[in-house]
Amino acid sequence: MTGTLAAQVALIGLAKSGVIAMLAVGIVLIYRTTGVVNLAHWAIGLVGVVVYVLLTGGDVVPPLLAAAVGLAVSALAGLVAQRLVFSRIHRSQVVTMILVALGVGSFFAAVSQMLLRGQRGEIIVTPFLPGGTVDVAGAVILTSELITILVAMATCAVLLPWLKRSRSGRALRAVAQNREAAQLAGIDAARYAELAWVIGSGLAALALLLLIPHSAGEQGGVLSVVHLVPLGSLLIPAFGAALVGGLISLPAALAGSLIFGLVQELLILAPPPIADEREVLAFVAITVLLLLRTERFFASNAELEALRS
Amino acid sequence: MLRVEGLNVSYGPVQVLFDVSIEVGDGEIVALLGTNGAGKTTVLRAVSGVIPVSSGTITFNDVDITGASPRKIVQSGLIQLPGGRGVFPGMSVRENLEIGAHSLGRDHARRRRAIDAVLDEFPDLRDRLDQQAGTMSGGQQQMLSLAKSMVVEPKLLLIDELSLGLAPKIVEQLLETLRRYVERGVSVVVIEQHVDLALSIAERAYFMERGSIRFDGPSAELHGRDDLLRAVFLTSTGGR
Repeated sequence: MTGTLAAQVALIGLAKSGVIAMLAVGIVLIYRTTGVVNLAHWAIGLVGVVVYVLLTGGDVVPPLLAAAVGLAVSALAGLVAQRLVFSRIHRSQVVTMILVALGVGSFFAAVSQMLLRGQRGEIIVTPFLPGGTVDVAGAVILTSELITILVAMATCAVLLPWLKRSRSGRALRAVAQNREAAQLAGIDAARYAELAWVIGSGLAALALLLLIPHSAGEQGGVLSVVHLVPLGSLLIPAFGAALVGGLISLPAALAGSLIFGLVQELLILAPPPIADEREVLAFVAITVLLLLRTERFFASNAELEALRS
Repeated sequence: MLRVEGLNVSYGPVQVLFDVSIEVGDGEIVALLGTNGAGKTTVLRAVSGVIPVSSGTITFNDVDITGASPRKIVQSGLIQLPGGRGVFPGMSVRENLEIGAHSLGRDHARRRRAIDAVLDEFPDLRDRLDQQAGTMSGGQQQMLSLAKSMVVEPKLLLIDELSLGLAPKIVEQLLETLRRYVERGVSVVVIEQHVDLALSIAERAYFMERGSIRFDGPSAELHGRDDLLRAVFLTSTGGR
Protein backbone atom coordinates (compact mmCIF):
# COMPACT_ATOMS: atom_id res chain seq x y z
CA MET A 1 0.00 0.00 0.00
CA THR A 2 2.78 2.40 1.02
CA GLY A 3 4.74 1.35 -2.03
CA THR A 4 1.80 2.12 -4.32
CA LEU A 5 1.26 5.48 -2.63
CA ALA A 6 4.95 6.34 -3.07
CA ALA A 7 4.78 5.27 -6.74
CA GLN A 8 1.68 7.39 -7.22
CA VAL A 9 3.29 10.44 -5.62
CA ALA A 10 6.46 9.82 -7.64
CA LEU A 11 4.46 9.78 -10.89
CA ILE A 12 2.70 13.02 -9.93
CA GLY A 13 6.18 14.36 -9.13
CA LEU A 14 7.36 13.27 -12.55
CA ALA A 15 4.53 15.26 -14.16
CA LYS A 16 5.62 18.27 -12.10
CA SER A 17 9.23 17.62 -13.21
CA GLY A 18 8.01 17.73 -16.80
CA VAL A 19 6.42 21.14 -16.33
CA ILE A 20 9.49 22.43 -14.48
CA ALA A 21 11.75 21.04 -17.24
CA MET A 22 9.87 22.89 -20.00
CA LEU A 23 10.22 26.12 -18.04
CA ALA A 24 13.87 25.46 -17.14
CA VAL A 25 14.86 24.70 -20.75
CA GLY A 26 13.52 28.12 -21.78
CA ILE A 27 15.32 29.85 -18.91
CA VAL A 28 18.65 28.24 -19.91
CA LEU A 29 18.24 28.86 -23.67
CA ILE A 30 17.37 32.52 -23.10
CA TYR A 31 20.11 33.12 -20.53
CA ARG A 32 22.83 31.50 -22.64
CA THR A 33 21.99 33.28 -25.86
CA THR A 34 21.13 36.73 -24.48
CA GLY A 35 22.36 36.90 -20.86
CA VAL A 36 18.84 37.64 -19.60
CA VAL A 37 17.92 36.07 -16.26
CA ASN A 38 14.34 35.86 -17.41
CA LEU A 39 12.17 36.66 -14.42
CA ALA A 40 9.41 37.49 -16.92
CA HIS A 41 9.33 33.88 -18.09
CA TRP A 42 6.14 32.80 -16.30
CA ALA A 43 4.28 36.00 -17.15
CA ILE A 44 5.05 35.55 -20.86
CA GLY A 45 3.71 31.98 -20.58
CA LEU A 46 0.67 33.31 -18.73
CA VAL A 47 -0.31 35.50 -21.69
CA GLY A 48 -0.70 32.32 -23.75
CA VAL A 49 -2.81 30.71 -21.04
CA VAL A 50 -5.10 33.75 -20.89
CA VAL A 51 -5.49 33.74 -24.68
CA TYR A 52 -6.46 30.07 -24.39
CA VAL A 53 -8.99 30.82 -21.66
CA LEU A 54 -10.57 33.64 -23.69
CA LEU A 55 -10.70 31.63 -26.91
CA THR A 56 -12.31 28.58 -25.32
CA GLY A 57 -14.76 30.73 -23.34
CA GLY A 58 -17.24 31.04 -26.20
CA ASP A 59 -17.06 27.37 -27.22
CA VAL A 60 -16.30 28.52 -30.78
CA VAL A 61 -12.62 27.65 -31.04
CA PRO A 62 -11.69 23.99 -30.48
CA PRO A 63 -9.55 23.62 -27.31
CA LEU A 64 -6.49 22.16 -29.08
CA LEU A 65 -6.47 24.99 -31.63
CA ALA A 66 -6.89 27.52 -28.80
CA ALA A 67 -3.92 25.95 -27.01
CA ALA A 68 -1.83 26.22 -30.19
CA VAL A 69 -2.82 29.88 -30.60
CA GLY A 70 -2.00 30.55 -26.93
CA LEU A 71 1.40 28.99 -27.41
CA ALA A 72 2.03 31.08 -30.53
CA VAL A 73 0.99 34.28 -28.75
CA SER A 74 3.47 33.61 -25.91
CA ALA A 75 6.20 32.88 -28.46
CA LEU A 76 5.39 36.19 -30.13
CA ALA A 77 5.38 38.00 -26.77
CA GLY A 78 8.88 36.61 -26.10
CA LEU A 79 10.08 37.72 -29.54
CA VAL A 80 8.72 41.24 -28.97
CA ALA A 81 10.29 41.44 -25.49
CA GLN A 82 13.70 40.49 -26.92
CA ARG A 83 13.52 42.70 -30.00
CA LEU A 84 12.10 45.82 -28.36
CA VAL A 85 13.62 45.63 -24.89
CA PHE A 86 16.32 43.11 -24.04
CA SER A 87 18.37 43.40 -27.25
CA ARG A 88 18.97 47.06 -26.35
CA ILE A 89 20.66 46.26 -23.04
CA HIS A 90 24.25 45.03 -23.02
CA ARG A 91 24.58 41.69 -21.28
CA SER A 92 27.29 43.03 -18.97
CA GLN A 93 24.66 45.30 -17.34
CA VAL A 94 23.39 42.49 -15.13
CA VAL A 95 21.45 44.58 -12.59
CA THR A 96 19.71 46.61 -15.31
CA MET A 97 18.81 43.39 -17.08
CA ILE A 98 17.23 41.87 -13.93
CA LEU A 99 15.25 45.02 -13.11
CA VAL A 100 14.01 45.27 -16.69
CA ALA A 101 13.05 41.56 -16.63
CA LEU A 102 10.98 42.21 -13.52
CA GLY A 103 9.35 45.15 -15.29
CA VAL A 104 8.59 43.14 -18.42
CA GLY A 105 7.17 40.36 -16.22
CA SER A 106 4.89 42.84 -14.43
CA PHE A 107 3.81 44.23 -17.80
CA PHE A 108 2.74 40.85 -19.18
CA ALA A 109 1.07 39.89 -15.88
CA ALA A 110 -0.87 43.18 -16.04
CA VAL A 111 -1.82 42.54 -19.69
CA SER A 112 -3.09 39.09 -18.67
CA GLN A 113 -5.18 40.52 -15.84
CA MET A 114 -6.55 43.25 -18.11
CA LEU A 115 -7.62 40.65 -20.66
CA LEU A 116 -9.38 38.71 -17.93
CA ARG A 117 -10.99 41.75 -16.34
CA GLY A 118 -14.31 41.04 -18.01
CA GLN A 119 -14.27 37.55 -16.48
CA ARG A 120 -15.31 38.07 -12.89
CA GLY A 121 -14.82 35.33 -10.34
CA GLU A 122 -14.79 31.91 -11.86
CA ILE A 123 -14.48 30.95 -15.51
CA ILE A 124 -15.62 27.72 -17.07
CA VAL A 125 -12.60 26.34 -18.86
CA THR A 126 -12.67 23.52 -21.33
CA PRO A 127 -9.49 21.52 -20.71
CA PHE A 128 -7.78 20.45 -23.94
CA LEU A 129 -6.54 17.21 -22.41
CA PRO A 130 -8.84 14.28 -21.58
CA GLY A 131 -10.06 14.07 -18.00
CA GLY A 132 -10.25 10.96 -15.84
CA THR A 133 -7.52 8.82 -14.35
CA VAL A 134 -5.17 6.10 -15.59
CA ASP A 135 -3.67 3.13 -13.80
CA VAL A 136 0.11 2.96 -14.29
CA ALA A 137 1.29 -0.34 -12.79
CA GLY A 138 -1.08 -0.02 -9.85
CA ALA A 139 -0.52 3.70 -9.28
CA VAL A 140 -3.52 5.84 -10.24
CA ILE A 141 -2.84 9.32 -11.65
CA LEU A 142 -4.76 11.86 -13.72
CA THR A 143 -4.66 11.22 -17.46
CA SER A 144 -3.49 14.81 -17.92
CA GLU A 145 -0.52 14.08 -15.64
CA LEU A 146 0.49 11.10 -17.74
CA ILE A 147 0.16 13.24 -20.87
CA THR A 148 2.27 15.96 -19.24
CA ILE A 149 5.04 13.42 -18.60
CA LEU A 150 4.85 12.21 -22.21
CA VAL A 151 4.79 15.74 -23.67
CA ALA A 152 7.85 16.72 -21.61
CA MET A 153 9.69 13.61 -22.80
CA ALA A 154 8.66 14.27 -26.41
CA THR A 155 9.82 17.89 -26.13
CA CYS A 156 13.26 16.74 -25.00
CA ALA A 157 13.32 14.02 -27.66
CA VAL A 158 12.75 16.65 -30.35
CA LEU A 159 14.65 19.63 -28.93
CA LEU A 160 17.92 17.99 -27.86
CA PRO A 161 18.68 16.19 -31.18
CA TRP A 162 17.63 19.37 -33.04
CA LEU A 163 20.13 21.41 -31.01
CA LYS A 164 22.79 18.76 -31.50
CA ARG A 165 22.48 17.93 -35.17
CA SER A 166 20.64 20.57 -37.19
CA ARG A 167 22.33 23.59 -38.77
CA SER A 168 20.06 25.99 -36.87
CA GLY A 169 20.45 24.10 -33.60
CA ARG A 170 24.24 24.21 -33.90
CA ALA A 171 24.16 27.91 -34.71
CA LEU A 172 21.99 28.53 -31.64
CA ARG A 173 24.50 26.64 -29.49
CA ALA A 174 27.36 28.59 -31.05
CA VAL A 175 25.68 31.91 -30.17
CA ALA A 176 25.06 30.51 -26.67
CA GLN A 177 28.73 29.56 -26.21
CA ASN A 178 30.45 32.58 -27.71
CA ARG A 179 28.39 35.25 -29.40
CA GLU A 180 31.26 37.08 -31.08
CA ALA A 181 32.98 33.94 -32.36
CA ALA A 182 29.60 32.87 -33.78
CA GLN A 183 29.17 36.23 -35.51
CA LEU A 184 32.66 35.91 -36.99
CA ALA A 185 31.55 32.59 -38.51
CA GLY A 186 28.76 34.44 -40.30
CA ILE A 187 25.97 33.50 -37.89
CA ASP A 188 23.28 36.14 -37.42
CA ALA A 189 23.48 36.23 -33.60
CA ALA A 190 20.49 38.57 -33.17
CA ARG A 191 18.25 36.25 -35.18
CA TYR A 192 19.26 33.19 -33.18
CA ALA A 193 18.82 35.07 -29.90
CA GLU A 194 15.26 35.78 -31.02
CA LEU A 195 14.80 32.13 -31.93
CA ALA A 196 15.84 31.18 -28.37
CA TRP A 197 13.20 33.56 -27.01
CA VAL A 198 10.54 32.16 -29.33
CA ILE A 199 11.32 28.56 -28.31
CA GLY A 200 11.66 29.39 -24.60
CA SER A 201 8.48 31.46 -24.45
CA GLY A 202 6.49 28.88 -26.42
CA LEU A 203 7.66 26.19 -23.99
CA ALA A 204 6.67 28.38 -21.03
CA ALA A 205 3.14 28.63 -22.42
CA LEU A 206 3.06 24.87 -23.10
CA ALA A 207 4.17 24.13 -19.53
CA LEU A 208 1.48 26.34 -18.01
CA LEU A 209 -1.19 25.14 -20.46
CA LEU A 210 -0.53 21.57 -19.36
CA LEU A 211 -1.39 22.63 -15.84
CA ILE A 212 -4.86 23.91 -16.74
CA PRO A 213 -6.60 20.53 -16.70
CA HIS A 214 -4.99 19.80 -13.33
CA SER A 215 -6.46 22.96 -11.81
CA ALA A 216 -9.72 22.59 -13.64
CA GLY A 217 -9.96 18.97 -12.58
CA GLU A 218 -9.72 19.94 -8.95
CA GLN A 219 -12.44 22.51 -9.41
CA GLY A 220 -14.65 20.28 -11.53
CA GLY A 221 -13.91 22.09 -14.79
CA VAL A 222 -14.12 25.53 -13.27
CA LEU A 223 -11.01 27.65 -13.19
CA SER A 224 -10.78 30.71 -10.99
CA VAL A 225 -8.82 33.76 -12.09
CA VAL A 226 -7.11 33.35 -8.74
CA HIS A 227 -5.69 30.08 -10.06
CA LEU A 228 -3.73 31.75 -12.83
CA VAL A 229 -1.40 34.05 -10.93
CA PRO A 230 0.03 31.41 -8.56
CA LEU A 231 1.34 29.67 -11.70
CA GLY A 232 4.18 32.14 -11.24
CA SER A 233 5.35 30.24 -8.16
CA LEU A 234 6.48 27.49 -10.56
CA LEU A 235 9.25 29.81 -11.65
CA ILE A 236 10.98 29.11 -8.33
CA PRO A 237 11.62 25.38 -8.84
CA ALA A 238 12.23 26.10 -12.54
CA PHE A 239 15.02 28.53 -11.68
CA GLY A 240 16.28 26.05 -9.09
CA ALA A 241 16.44 23.35 -11.77
CA ALA A 242 18.17 25.69 -14.24
CA LEU A 243 20.67 26.67 -11.53
CA VAL A 244 21.68 23.01 -11.10
CA GLY A 245 23.36 23.55 -14.48
CA GLY A 246 24.52 27.07 -13.59
CA LEU A 247 21.86 28.44 -15.99
CA ILE A 248 24.08 27.22 -18.83
CA SER A 249 23.84 23.43 -19.04
CA LEU A 250 20.66 21.98 -20.55
CA PRO A 251 21.25 18.34 -19.52
CA ALA A 252 21.99 19.43 -15.93
CA ALA A 253 18.87 21.63 -15.93
CA LEU A 254 16.82 18.62 -17.04
CA ALA A 255 18.33 16.51 -14.26
CA GLY A 256 17.60 19.38 -11.88
CA SER A 257 13.97 19.47 -13.04
CA LEU A 258 13.65 15.77 -12.31
CA ILE A 259 15.05 16.26 -8.82
CA PHE A 260 12.99 19.36 -7.98
CA GLY A 261 9.71 17.87 -9.22
CA LEU A 262 10.20 14.49 -7.56
CA VAL A 263 11.54 15.81 -4.25
CA GLN A 264 8.82 18.45 -3.92
CA GLU A 265 6.08 15.86 -4.39
CA LEU A 266 7.70 13.05 -2.39
CA LEU A 267 8.13 15.43 0.56
CA ILE A 268 4.33 15.28 0.90
CA LEU A 269 4.97 11.92 2.51
CA ALA A 270 7.38 13.49 5.03
CA PRO A 271 6.30 14.46 8.59
CA PRO A 272 4.12 17.64 8.78
CA PRO A 273 6.64 20.44 9.41
CA ILE A 274 8.74 19.42 6.39
CA ALA A 275 5.77 18.49 4.19
CA ASP A 276 4.14 21.88 4.87
CA GLU A 277 7.24 23.89 4.03
CA ARG A 278 8.08 22.19 0.75
CA GLU A 279 8.03 25.45 -1.21
CA VAL A 280 10.48 27.05 1.21
CA LEU A 281 12.91 24.19 0.64
CA ALA A 282 13.08 25.15 -3.05
CA PHE A 283 14.31 28.59 -1.98
CA VAL A 284 16.90 27.01 0.30
CA ALA A 285 18.07 24.82 -2.58
CA ILE A 286 18.36 27.87 -4.86
CA THR A 287 20.43 29.73 -2.26
CA VAL A 288 22.77 26.77 -1.89
CA LEU A 289 23.10 26.40 -5.68
CA LEU A 290 23.87 30.12 -6.06
CA LEU A 291 26.51 29.92 -3.32
CA LEU A 292 28.07 26.93 -5.06
CA ARG A 293 28.37 29.00 -8.27
CA THR A 294 27.38 25.92 -10.24
CA GLU A 295 28.22 27.50 -13.61
CA ARG A 296 31.93 26.81 -12.99
CA PHE A 297 31.27 23.05 -13.20
CA PHE A 298 29.97 23.37 -16.76
CA ALA A 299 32.24 25.97 -18.38
CA SER A 300 35.85 27.13 -18.18
CA ASN A 301 36.69 30.66 -17.03
CA ALA A 302 37.40 31.66 -20.63
CA GLU A 303 33.99 30.38 -21.72
CA LEU A 304 32.23 32.21 -18.88
CA GLU A 305 34.09 35.38 -19.80
CA ALA A 306 33.00 34.98 -23.43
CA LEU A 307 29.44 34.44 -22.23
CA ARG A 308 29.40 37.66 -20.23
CA SER A 309 31.09 39.89 -22.80
CA MET B 1 41.54 44.33 -51.71
CA LEU B 2 40.91 45.95 -48.30
CA ARG B 3 41.01 49.70 -47.77
CA VAL B 4 40.34 51.26 -44.38
CA GLU B 5 40.25 55.06 -44.41
CA GLY B 6 40.07 57.46 -41.48
CA LEU B 7 38.56 54.91 -39.10
CA ASN B 8 37.39 56.24 -35.72
CA VAL B 9 35.92 53.93 -33.10
CA SER B 10 34.66 54.65 -29.58
CA TYR B 11 33.67 52.35 -26.72
CA GLY B 12 30.94 54.44 -25.12
CA PRO B 13 32.41 57.88 -24.41
CA VAL B 14 36.01 56.71 -24.81
CA GLN B 15 37.53 57.01 -28.28
CA VAL B 16 39.92 54.11 -28.93
CA LEU B 17 40.81 54.47 -32.63
CA PHE B 18 41.88 57.73 -34.24
CA ASP B 19 41.92 58.12 -38.04
CA VAL B 20 43.27 54.66 -38.73
CA SER B 21 44.00 53.94 -42.41
CA ILE B 22 45.15 50.54 -43.66
CA GLU B 23 45.47 48.96 -47.07
CA VAL B 24 45.92 45.32 -48.03
CA GLY B 25 46.60 44.14 -51.59
CA ASP B 26 45.73 40.84 -53.29
CA GLY B 27 47.72 37.88 -51.95
CA GLU B 28 49.59 40.08 -49.50
CA ILE B 29 50.48 39.38 -45.86
CA VAL B 30 50.35 42.50 -43.71
CA ALA B 31 51.39 42.62 -40.05
CA LEU B 32 49.57 44.80 -37.54
CA LEU B 33 51.85 45.41 -34.59
CA GLY B 34 51.81 47.59 -31.53
CA THR B 35 51.84 47.83 -27.79
CA ASN B 36 49.21 46.20 -25.57
CA GLY B 37 45.98 48.17 -25.75
CA ALA B 38 47.06 50.05 -28.88
CA GLY B 39 43.79 49.15 -30.62
CA LYS B 40 44.95 46.38 -32.99
CA THR B 41 42.13 43.98 -32.11
CA THR B 42 39.62 46.85 -32.28
CA VAL B 43 40.68 47.51 -35.89
CA LEU B 44 39.98 43.88 -36.81
CA ARG B 45 36.66 43.83 -34.92
CA ALA B 46 35.53 47.00 -36.67
CA VAL B 47 36.49 45.61 -40.09
CA SER B 48 34.61 42.37 -39.30
CA GLY B 49 31.51 44.35 -38.33
CA VAL B 50 31.17 43.13 -34.75
CA ILE B 51 31.58 46.66 -33.33
CA PRO B 52 30.17 49.87 -34.80
CA VAL B 53 32.45 52.53 -36.28
CA SER B 54 32.02 56.20 -35.43
CA SER B 55 33.34 57.47 -38.75
CA GLY B 56 35.56 56.44 -41.66
CA THR B 57 35.07 53.95 -44.47
CA ILE B 58 35.93 50.30 -44.97
CA THR B 59 36.02 49.04 -48.56
CA PHE B 60 36.50 45.39 -49.47
CA ASN B 61 36.98 44.48 -53.14
CA ASP B 62 35.62 47.93 -54.08
CA VAL B 63 32.43 47.40 -52.06
CA ASP B 64 31.73 49.69 -49.11
CA ILE B 65 31.23 47.36 -46.11
CA THR B 66 31.21 50.09 -43.44
CA GLY B 67 28.42 49.26 -41.01
CA ALA B 68 27.54 45.98 -42.80
CA SER B 69 26.51 43.03 -40.62
CA PRO B 70 29.18 40.43 -39.72
CA ARG B 71 27.13 37.88 -41.70
CA LYS B 72 27.28 39.96 -44.88
CA ILE B 73 30.99 40.57 -44.38
CA VAL B 74 31.71 36.85 -43.94
CA GLN B 75 29.66 36.10 -47.06
CA SER B 76 31.75 38.61 -49.01
CA GLY B 77 34.86 36.54 -48.25
CA LEU B 78 36.37 38.39 -45.30
CA ILE B 79 36.93 36.16 -42.28
CA GLN B 80 38.41 36.93 -38.88
CA LEU B 81 40.07 34.30 -36.75
CA PRO B 82 39.28 35.47 -33.21
CA GLY B 83 42.12 35.81 -30.75
CA GLY B 84 42.63 33.04 -28.22
CA ARG B 85 39.07 31.77 -28.26
CA GLY B 86 38.36 30.96 -31.85
CA VAL B 87 36.95 27.48 -31.33
CA PHE B 88 33.81 26.40 -29.55
CA PRO B 89 35.32 24.26 -26.79
CA GLY B 90 32.06 22.49 -25.91
CA MET B 91 31.62 21.24 -29.46
CA SER B 92 33.38 18.48 -31.38
CA VAL B 93 35.88 19.19 -34.15
CA ARG B 94 33.25 18.22 -36.71
CA GLU B 95 30.71 20.60 -35.18
CA ASN B 96 33.26 23.42 -35.16
CA LEU B 97 33.89 22.88 -38.87
CA GLU B 98 30.12 22.80 -39.46
CA ILE B 99 29.88 26.17 -37.70
CA GLY B 100 32.63 27.42 -40.02
CA ALA B 101 30.50 26.24 -42.95
CA HIS B 102 27.32 27.90 -41.63
CA SER B 103 27.37 30.76 -44.13
CA LEU B 104 27.44 28.30 -47.05
CA GLY B 105 23.71 27.87 -46.45
CA ARG B 106 21.29 24.99 -46.04
CA ASP B 107 22.78 22.75 -48.75
CA HIS B 108 24.16 19.92 -46.62
CA ALA B 109 26.15 18.35 -49.48
CA ARG B 110 27.83 21.66 -50.27
CA ARG B 111 28.85 22.12 -46.63
CA ARG B 112 30.21 18.56 -46.49
CA ARG B 113 32.27 19.07 -49.65
CA ALA B 114 33.76 22.29 -48.23
CA ILE B 115 34.62 20.58 -44.94
CA ASP B 116 36.17 17.63 -46.78
CA ALA B 117 38.34 19.99 -48.82
CA VAL B 118 39.60 21.68 -45.65
CA LEU B 119 40.30 18.33 -43.98
CA ASP B 120 42.60 17.53 -46.91
CA GLU B 121 44.64 20.59 -45.88
CA PHE B 122 44.48 19.73 -42.17
CA PRO B 123 44.80 15.92 -42.16
CA ASP B 124 45.46 15.73 -38.39
CA LEU B 125 41.93 16.95 -37.74
CA ARG B 126 40.41 14.08 -39.72
CA ASP B 127 41.32 11.63 -36.96
CA ARG B 128 39.84 13.89 -34.31
CA LEU B 129 36.47 14.72 -35.81
CA ASP B 130 34.53 13.46 -32.80
CA GLN B 131 36.90 14.88 -30.18
CA GLN B 132 35.63 17.79 -28.11
CA ALA B 133 37.58 20.88 -29.17
CA GLY B 134 38.16 22.01 -25.57
CA THR B 135 40.10 18.82 -24.81
CA MET B 136 42.70 19.46 -27.54
CA SER B 137 46.08 21.16 -27.03
CA GLY B 138 46.42 24.90 -27.67
CA GLY B 139 48.19 24.24 -30.97
CA GLN B 140 45.52 21.83 -32.16
CA GLN B 141 42.82 24.30 -31.21
CA GLN B 142 44.53 27.06 -33.18
CA MET B 143 44.85 24.67 -36.12
CA LEU B 144 41.11 23.95 -35.84
CA SER B 145 40.37 27.67 -35.60
CA LEU B 146 42.32 28.23 -38.83
CA ALA B 147 40.63 25.26 -40.53
CA LYS B 148 37.21 26.51 -39.40
CA SER B 149 37.94 29.88 -41.01
CA MET B 150 39.14 28.32 -44.27
CA VAL B 151 35.98 26.23 -44.87
CA VAL B 152 34.32 29.11 -46.71
CA GLU B 153 37.46 29.81 -48.80
CA PRO B 154 37.96 33.43 -47.68
CA LYS B 155 39.70 36.00 -49.85
CA LEU B 156 41.03 37.88 -46.84
CA LEU B 157 41.88 36.40 -43.47
CA LEU B 158 42.25 38.56 -40.37
CA ILE B 159 44.24 36.76 -37.68
CA ASP B 160 44.21 38.05 -34.10
CA GLU B 161 47.30 36.48 -32.49
CA LEU B 162 48.53 33.46 -34.37
CA SER B 163 51.31 32.27 -32.09
CA LEU B 164 50.07 33.23 -28.62
CA GLY B 165 51.08 30.57 -26.09
CA LEU B 166 52.14 28.07 -28.76
CA ALA B 167 55.43 26.14 -29.11
CA PRO B 168 57.69 27.29 -32.00
CA LYS B 169 57.28 23.95 -33.78
CA ILE B 170 53.50 24.30 -33.79
CA VAL B 171 53.75 27.91 -34.98
CA GLU B 172 55.94 26.77 -37.88
CA GLN B 173 53.28 24.21 -38.86
CA LEU B 174 50.59 26.87 -38.77
CA LEU B 175 52.70 29.23 -40.87
CA GLU B 176 53.38 26.53 -43.43
CA THR B 177 49.64 25.96 -43.84
CA LEU B 178 49.02 29.68 -44.00
CA ARG B 179 51.68 30.17 -46.70
CA ARG B 180 50.01 27.51 -48.85
CA TYR B 181 46.80 29.55 -48.76
CA VAL B 182 48.64 32.80 -49.50
CA GLU B 183 50.24 31.20 -52.56
CA ARG B 184 46.70 30.57 -53.82
CA GLY B 185 45.88 34.25 -53.53
CA VAL B 186 44.46 34.60 -50.00
CA SER B 187 45.43 37.89 -48.33
CA VAL B 188 46.23 38.00 -44.62
CA VAL B 189 46.30 40.64 -41.92
CA VAL B 190 48.01 39.28 -38.83
CA ILE B 191 48.24 40.74 -35.34
CA GLU B 192 51.25 39.27 -33.62
CA GLN B 193 53.01 39.91 -30.31
CA HIS B 194 56.04 38.07 -31.61
CA VAL B 195 57.56 40.92 -33.64
CA ASP B 196 60.33 38.92 -35.34
CA LEU B 197 57.84 36.29 -36.44
CA ALA B 198 55.43 38.87 -37.80
CA LEU B 199 58.11 40.74 -39.71
CA SER B 200 59.50 37.49 -41.15
CA ILE B 201 56.20 36.55 -42.79
CA ALA B 202 54.79 39.96 -43.72
CA GLU B 203 56.01 42.13 -46.57
CA ARG B 204 54.45 45.22 -45.09
CA ALA B 205 53.66 46.25 -41.54
CA TYR B 206 51.65 48.79 -39.60
CA PHE B 207 52.64 49.84 -36.12
CA MET B 208 49.97 51.17 -33.75
CA GLU B 209 50.23 53.13 -30.53
CA ARG B 210 47.35 54.56 -28.49
CA GLY B 211 44.78 54.04 -31.21
CA SER B 212 46.77 55.61 -34.06
CA ILE B 213 49.00 54.30 -36.82
CA ARG B 214 52.58 55.35 -36.06
CA PHE B 215 54.33 53.48 -38.86
CA ASP B 216 53.30 52.20 -42.26
CA GLY B 217 55.82 50.63 -44.61
CA PRO B 218 57.95 47.62 -45.54
CA SER B 219 58.64 45.16 -42.71
CA ALA B 220 62.39 45.48 -43.18
CA GLU B 221 62.13 49.20 -42.47
CA LEU B 222 60.19 48.64 -39.24
CA HIS B 223 62.93 46.23 -38.16
CA GLY B 224 65.28 49.17 -37.88
CA ARG B 225 62.88 51.35 -35.87
CA ASP B 226 64.07 50.60 -32.34
CA ASP B 227 62.22 53.66 -31.03
CA LEU B 228 58.90 51.94 -31.83
CA LEU B 229 59.74 48.29 -31.27
CA ARG B 230 61.28 48.90 -27.85
CA ALA B 231 57.79 49.76 -26.57
CA VAL B 232 56.49 46.34 -27.66
CA PHE B 233 59.37 44.50 -26.05
CA LEU B 234 59.03 46.48 -22.83
CA THR B 235 55.32 45.81 -22.50
CA SER B 236 55.44 42.19 -23.61
CA THR B 237 58.26 41.27 -21.23
CA GLY B 238 57.59 43.50 -18.27
CA GLY B 239 53.93 44.31 -18.72
CA ARG B 240 52.36 41.16 -17.30
